[in-house]
Amino acid sequence: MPMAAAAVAGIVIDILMKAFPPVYEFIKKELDGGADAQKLRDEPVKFSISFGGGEGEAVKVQRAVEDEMLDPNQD
Amino acid sequence: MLKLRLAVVLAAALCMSCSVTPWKRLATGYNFVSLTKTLGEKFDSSVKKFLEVKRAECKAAHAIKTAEYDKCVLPAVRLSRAWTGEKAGKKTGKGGLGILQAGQRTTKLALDAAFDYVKTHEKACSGEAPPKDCHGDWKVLIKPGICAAWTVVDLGVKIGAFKTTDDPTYKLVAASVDAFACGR
Repeated sequence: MPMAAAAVAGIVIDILMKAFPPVYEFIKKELDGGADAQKLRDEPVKFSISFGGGEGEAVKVQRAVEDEMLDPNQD
Repeated sequence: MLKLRLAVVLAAALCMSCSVTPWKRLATGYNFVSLTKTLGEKFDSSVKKFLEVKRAECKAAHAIKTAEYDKCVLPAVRLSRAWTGEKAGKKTGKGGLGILQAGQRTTKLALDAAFDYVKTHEKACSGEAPPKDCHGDWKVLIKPGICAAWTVVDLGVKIGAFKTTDDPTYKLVAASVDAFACGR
């Protein structure tokens, strides 16, 4: 007899809980997930995805290092 | 490990489909994009730190503007180029950061559009198989960006740049990216 989706999910979550706690915590939060969902329903979306002026900080150091190289065009 | 990754993907897929309200699906989408932002910031910081350390080591051992200095610092520069998409002051458009950010932008647009749709069609979006308009196509949209970023991580781990494998965010994304974003 095929297992119900919920039963399969239960087994998977059980395995994750033992084997990989950080992933389990994330998925548990999603399964329980009322808090974020209700907040999303009640409030307008405020969400930012850009960081470091869009190009990050690593590129600034990279430019400085390339200035110090004899041949910055080499691969 | 592969079985565990597949289990994670399966569990995540079940989370997306077996329960809940359209608001929860959207929250999952926004949470996922937020995680990619956090991970992107950590990658950028790790690349920067690795480059700074190698720069100092190479400067201590060799004079700048010499072939020896170039040879010493080039692996770190390669990693940085793979992440930033810039080479000798020119943008290549191929960096993990830029592709990830493009994926984030289009995914956010899809989620915002779905948010607006759900507001007026909440009942239709509450079934087990809601129309695509109810949740957007964010899983497809963000795949290239995540895969590009992951390629950089893979390179960074191989040359010893990243020591963040104990980080929970890293673990979370690492567990599913290979199978989910890169199709392995």
